[in-house]
Amino acid sequence: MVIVGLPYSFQGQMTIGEVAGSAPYGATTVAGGDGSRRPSENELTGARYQGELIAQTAKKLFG
Amino acid sequence: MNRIFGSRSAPWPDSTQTTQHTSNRGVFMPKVLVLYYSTYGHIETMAYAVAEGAKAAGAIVDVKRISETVPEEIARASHFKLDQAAPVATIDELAKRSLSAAERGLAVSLRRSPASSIRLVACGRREPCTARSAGPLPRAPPSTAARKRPCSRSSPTSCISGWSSWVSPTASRGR
Repeated sequence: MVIVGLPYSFQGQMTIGEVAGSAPYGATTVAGGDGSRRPSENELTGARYQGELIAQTAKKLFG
Repeated sequence: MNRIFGSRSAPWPDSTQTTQHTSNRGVFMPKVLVLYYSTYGHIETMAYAVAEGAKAAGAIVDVKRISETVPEEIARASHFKLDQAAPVATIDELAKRSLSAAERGLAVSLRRSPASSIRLVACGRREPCTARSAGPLPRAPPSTAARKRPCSRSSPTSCISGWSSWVSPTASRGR
């Protein structure tokens, strides 16, 4: 079993200047108690990063 | 790849209909399924971002969602986002697909809350596989057939799939 998470090479998850989702287990977003906050650009970048990573990993293993 | 991202009418065609794993130039293209559930649309947005990334890395991408199990009346009263363009994945299809992926694939999931999750399955399979289902799916149990089917992988080390832990909202916020 291979789990592809969101490594610290995605620097955006170390952000402290704003509310930021993301965790080593994978991209996340913070919705806020009433759901009014939408995924930030930083969080979406994390999601793209992880999507890219799984495709690249699959390529390396099976390509 | 433009057939996936270039068309507004059908942005996410069903790649289970596609057997092609290589581009015209013979480059290997993994198949990635981004499977998600989203109540209010946050995770839906995240799922499409994941799909963009996978596509950028040269994958054939599908985005699908888990069916809503909350009664419609309650879902409407609670302002769920019910107009989500991604097709609903069926249990049979998931069983088949996750078995396919298990042969030569990977899985990833992202969970923001118990009710919202994304599951990714990347697949580069070339032969049929009857390995067992990759694990529990959010809000939808795997079919009995999939659970009972014996695992007959051609190579014991080639079944790759999985699912990450739930990330606590507190951990995300406590910065």
